[in-house]
Amino acid sequence: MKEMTILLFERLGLLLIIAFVLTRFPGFKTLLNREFNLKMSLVHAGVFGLFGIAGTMAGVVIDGESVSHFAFVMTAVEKDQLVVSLSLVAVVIAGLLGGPIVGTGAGLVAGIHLLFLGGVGWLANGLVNPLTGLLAGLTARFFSQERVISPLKALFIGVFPPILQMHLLLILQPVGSDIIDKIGLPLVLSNSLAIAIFTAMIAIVLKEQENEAAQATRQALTIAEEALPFLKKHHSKEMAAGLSNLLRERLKLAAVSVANKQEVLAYTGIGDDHHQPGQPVGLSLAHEAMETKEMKVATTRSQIECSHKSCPFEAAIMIPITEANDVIWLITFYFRKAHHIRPVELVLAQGLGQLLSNQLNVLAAQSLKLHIRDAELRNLQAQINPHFLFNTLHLIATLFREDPKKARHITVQLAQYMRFNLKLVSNPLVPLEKECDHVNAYMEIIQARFTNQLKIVFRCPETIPNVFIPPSTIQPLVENCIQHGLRNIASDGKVEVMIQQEDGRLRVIVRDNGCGFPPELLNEVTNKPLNEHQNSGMGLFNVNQRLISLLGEEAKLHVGNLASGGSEVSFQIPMEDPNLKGGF
Amino acid sequence: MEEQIRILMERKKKFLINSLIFLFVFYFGLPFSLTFFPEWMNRSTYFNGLTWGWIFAFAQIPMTWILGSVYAHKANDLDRLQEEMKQGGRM
Amino acid sequence: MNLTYFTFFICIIVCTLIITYWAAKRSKTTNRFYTAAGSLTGFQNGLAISGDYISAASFLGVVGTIAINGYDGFLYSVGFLVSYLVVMFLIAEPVHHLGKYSLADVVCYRFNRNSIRSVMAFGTLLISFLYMIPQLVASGLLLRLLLNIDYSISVVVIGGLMTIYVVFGGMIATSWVQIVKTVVLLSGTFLLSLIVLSRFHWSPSAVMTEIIQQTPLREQFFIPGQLLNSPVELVSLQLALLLGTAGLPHILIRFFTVKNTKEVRRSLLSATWIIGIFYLITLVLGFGAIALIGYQKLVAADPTGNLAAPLMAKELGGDFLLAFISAIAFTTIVAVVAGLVISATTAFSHDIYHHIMKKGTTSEEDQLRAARWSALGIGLISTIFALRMENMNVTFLVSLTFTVAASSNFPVLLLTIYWKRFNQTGAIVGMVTGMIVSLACLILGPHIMNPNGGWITSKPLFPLYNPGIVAIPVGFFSAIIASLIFQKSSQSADEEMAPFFIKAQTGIDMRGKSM
Repeated sequence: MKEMTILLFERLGLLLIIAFVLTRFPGFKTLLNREFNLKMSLVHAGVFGLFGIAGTMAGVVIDGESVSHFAFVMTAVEKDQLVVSLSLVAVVIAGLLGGPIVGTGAGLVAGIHLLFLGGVGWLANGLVNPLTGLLAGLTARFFSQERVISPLKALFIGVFPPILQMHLLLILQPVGSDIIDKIGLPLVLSNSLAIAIFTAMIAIVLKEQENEAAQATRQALTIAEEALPFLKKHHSKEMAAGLSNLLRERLKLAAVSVANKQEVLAYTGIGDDHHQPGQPVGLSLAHEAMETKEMKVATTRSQIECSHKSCPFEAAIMIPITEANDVIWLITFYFRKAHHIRPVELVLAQGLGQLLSNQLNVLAAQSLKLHIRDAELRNLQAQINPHFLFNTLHLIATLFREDPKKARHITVQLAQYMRFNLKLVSNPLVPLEKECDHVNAYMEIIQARFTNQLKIVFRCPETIPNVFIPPSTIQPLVENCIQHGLRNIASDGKVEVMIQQEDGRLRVIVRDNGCGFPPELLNEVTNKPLNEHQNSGMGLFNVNQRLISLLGEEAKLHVGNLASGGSEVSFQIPMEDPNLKGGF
Repeated sequence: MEEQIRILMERKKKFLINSLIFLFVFYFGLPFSLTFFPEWMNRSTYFNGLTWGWIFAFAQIPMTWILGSVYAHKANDLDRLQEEMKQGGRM
Repeated sequence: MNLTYFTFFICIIVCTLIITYWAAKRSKTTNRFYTAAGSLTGFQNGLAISGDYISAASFLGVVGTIAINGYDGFLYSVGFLVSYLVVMFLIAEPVHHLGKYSLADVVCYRFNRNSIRSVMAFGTLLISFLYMIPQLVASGLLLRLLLNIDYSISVVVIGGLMTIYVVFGGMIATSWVQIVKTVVLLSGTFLLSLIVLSRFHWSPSAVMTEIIQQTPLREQFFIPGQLLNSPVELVSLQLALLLGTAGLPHILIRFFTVKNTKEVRRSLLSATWIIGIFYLITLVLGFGAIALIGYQKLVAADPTGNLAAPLMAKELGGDFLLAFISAIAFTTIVAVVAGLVISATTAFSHDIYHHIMKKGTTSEEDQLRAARWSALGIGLISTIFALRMENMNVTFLVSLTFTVAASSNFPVLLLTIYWKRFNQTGAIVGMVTGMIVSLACLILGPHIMNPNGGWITSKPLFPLYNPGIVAIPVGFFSAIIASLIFQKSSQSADEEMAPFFIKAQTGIDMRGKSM
C-alpha cells in the first residue's frame, strides 16, 4: 500500500505540474471568468474532461495484486486488469468550480473514456466519474458562497469520491477485497490532497486577476488626477497633445489620438507617419461613438478604416468625452493585436472616459462660477460706476434749470437703470423684455448727455418674444461701442441696436459707425479679458463667456468690422429652448 | 366562529379515529395472525423462505407510507378549509 | 485493524463533523443552545428526525438481531416505523402548538405547576439516559472490534470523549449533525446493501439458500418465534414499540423547530420515508451478515450480534470498508448522543433550573453552565451503567427505553391533550407510576435477574422480557383512576379544557379571550 501511495502521488504530481503551467497562460485565465451561459459551461466541461482523461492516462494498471506496468495508460487493458484512474481529481474540481452541469459533463467525458479502456472495473470507473461530478457540483452550490471553494473545504470533500468509487467497484464487479485494500487508502489520500492543491492553484489565479483589476483602477484614478492640468488648458491643441502623451505613457499603449468632432487634434505613438493631427475624423465607428456617447471597440482592421497599407493596428477603443452632455473630444487607444484588448483594458477605458468627462464638467462648472462671480463684481462696480453717475447727475443738474421736464425724465431713467443693475445679481437669466428696458434706460441717459454727438437707434420686433437671456448682455455691447468705437468721433456717431427673429432664433446686433476694432484685437477681444481700462464696464469677454456657458457655443459673440467703417457685434440665441428658464 | 371550528374538528376527529382504527387493526393483525394462524403465515409463497408472514410484515412499511401521506393530505385540506373559514367569517 | 486504517476511521469521522460545521455555519442557525429556531424546512427536519431516531440500535442492533434471530428481528423494524403514525395522528401537532423548549412546556400549558414540571423533567432525564446507555455499549463494542482492546476500557474512553465533546461544543448545530449524518448513513448503508446483493448476483433466493446453510436455525430462521417465544412477549413488544416513539422527548422536541403544521406533517412524512427505506436496507444487511459471516463468527464477536454489520463490511471490502462503516456507525452514535444530551440538558436547565429552582430569573449563560454540568453528569452516569451491559443487544436495550416512554410519557401526553377530566394529580401519578412499574418490571425481569450472567443472580420475579403489556396499561390506568378520584368540579374542568383543546388542535390561542 505504501508503494501504491507514493506511486499515485508521483503521477498526481505530474498532473499538478501540467495544471500549474496551464494556469500561467492567459488563455486559461480567461477560461476562469465565470460566465453563466450554456456554451461556456460546455467548454469548461470539455476542458476539465480532457484533464480527467489525462488523469486516467497518468494512472496505473493493476494486474491481480501488483502493478502491471509503469507506462502511461494509453490503450485498452486486458479483461482481468484494473485501471486505477486519477480522473476524479479533475472531475471534482470541475464540479466545485462550475456547478453540476460542468461537473457532470466533465465526468461524462472522463467516464466514457474509461468505459472504452475496459478492464475489470470498467463500469464502476465509468459510472463514478459523472456521478461524482454531479454530486460535487451540488455540494458546491450548497456549501459555498465564495467564488471558489476554499482549499480546506475541498480537501475534506475530496475524501468521499474515492470511497464512492470503491463502493461502486465492489457493487458492480465482485472485486477481491484485497484489491480494495491495495488501492483504497492511497486513492483517498492522493485524491483529496490533489484536489486541495488544485483548488489552491485556481484560487491564486483568480487572486491575480483581482489584483490586476485593482491595479488598473488605481492607475485610472491616478491618470485622471494627472490629466487635470491638461484639461484646464484652453488651447485645444496643447491640451490634446499633453493628454495623449500622458495616456500613452501611463497605459503603455501602441498609440493614442485625441480628436474633437471634426479633426484629430493630437497623436502620439507608432504609426505617426500616417496618422497625424489635422486629419479629419473619418471613421464611421468614431462617429458612432460620438453620436451615441458610448465607448466603441474596433476589433478588426476593416473597422479601423485606415487606408495606409502598413498601418500596424488591428484594434482600437474609442472613448467619447463629454462636457455637459455634449461630446467634445474622442480619445482613441490603438492596439496592434485584437487580443491585446483584455477585459482590464476595456474597463480601464470606460472608467477613464467617465472620469475625464466628470473632470471636464467640474472644470466647466468652476469656470462658470468664476465668470458669474466676475460679472457680479463688475456689476457691483457698475452699479456705482462713479464716472457714469457723476456725469449723469451733472447732466441732471444742468437740465434742472433749462428743461425741468427732461431733468425729471432722466432722473427716472437713471433710477431705472440702477434698479436694473441691482436685479442683475440675483438671476442668471432674465426675460428679454427686461433687458430691453435696461438698454433703453441706458440709451436715454447717454442720448441725453451726448445729444448732438450721438444717435442711438433701437429696433426690436413689435411683440417682444418670450425669451430669456443673461442679464446685461446688450447694454455692455452698446457701452463698448460708445466707449471705444465712438470715442474719437465728435459728431454724427450712430449706434444701432437690432433685435430680430430669424428661423426660430433671436438675433441681437449692435453696430456703430466708429473706428472699428483694431485688427489685431479682433480675434482676442472675446477670448481674453482686456483690463486696460479704468472705466470698467462689462467686458466683451465677460459677456461672451456668460453667453457660452449659459446658452452654449452657438450663442457666442461674433465680432467684426463693417466694410463701411465701424464695428458690429452680434449674437444669436435659440428660442423656445427648454433650458432657458430663468425666472424671478 | 367557534361553532364552525367545532364542526371542522368533528370532521377531523372522525377521520382521525378511522385512521387509527385501521392502523391498529393492520398493525396488530400481524402478531395476531402470527399467533393464531401460524400454519397459514408460515406457508411459503414465491420462493423458499418468503412466507406470508414476511409479506405481511413487509406490507407494514408501505402501509405506513400510504397512510401517512393520506393523512397529511387530508389534514392539509382541512386546515385550508379552516383558514378560508377564518377569513370568510372574519369581521 | 492496523493503525493506518484506524487513522482513516478517525479521518472520516472528522471530515463528517467538519462538513457538518460548515453546513451549520452556512445557515447561520447557531442557536447554540435550545433547538434551532424554526428555520428548517419540512424535509430537512424530517432528515433531522431520522437522524435523531436512527441510532446504534436501529443500525447495528437491528442488523444483528435479524442476522441471529431472523423474522423476529424484523418485527423490531416494523414496530419502530409504524409508531410514527401514532405520533403523526395523535401527538405531533398538539405538541407543536403547545410547546416551546421542552416537553414539560406542553403539559404545563394545561397544568402549570412546578410539581408537574419537575416530574416531566425527571421523566425526560430518565428516558434520555436510558437511551444513551445502548449507544455507549455499541460504541464500546465497536472500538473493541477495531482496536482489539478490552470492552470496559473502550466504554470508558468513548464515554469520556463523548461527554467532553458534548460538554464543550456538541450543543452547537445538532440539527445539522443529524442531517449530515442521515445523508452519510443512508448512502453508506445503501451502497453496502448493493454490495451484498451483488455478491449473491442479485438473486434473493441465492441469499435465502445461503442463509439456511449458515444459520443453526435452518429454515426456522424465516419463521417467527425465535426470539419472542410467546405470543404475550410478541404483543408486548409490538405495543411498546408502537406507542414508545410518541413518548420520546428528544424526538418530540423536534416539532418545536418547524414553522407551521404543514411542515410538521411534511417532516413526519419525510422521516417515515427515510426510516422505512433504512429498515429495508437493514433487512438486506441482516440477511447478508448471516449469509456471509455465519453464525459462529457472529456470535464469537458479540453474542447478541451487535457487530454484525461491521463484520460484514470487513468480509466484503476488507479493512477499508470496515473503517468506513464503523466511522458511519460512530458518527451516528455521536449524533444521537448529542441529540439526547440536548433534550436531557434542556429538561434540566430549562425546566428544573430555570423554572423551578430559580423561578425564571436566570440568564442564558447561567443556563448554559447548568446545561454543561448536567451533560457531564449524564455522561458519567451512562458510562458507568454501560460498563455492565456488554452482553445485551442494543436494540433490545432501546426497546426497554420505549417501554418506559410508552408507560409514562405517552399516557400523560395523550390524556393531557385529549381527556377533559384529566387533572394534575392524574398527571403526576401517571408519570410516576408508569416509570416505577416499567423500571420494576425491568429490574425484576429476566435481564437483570438472571441466574447465569445477570446482575442479580437469582430467578427472575417478573417473567417477561418485554414488560410492555403490563407496564403500559398500568401507566394509563393509574393516570385515569387518579384523575377520577381526585376530581375537582367538572365545570372548571370543562372551562379549562375547551380553549386548551382548541389551541392544541388548531394553534389558535383563545385563552386571552375567554379567560
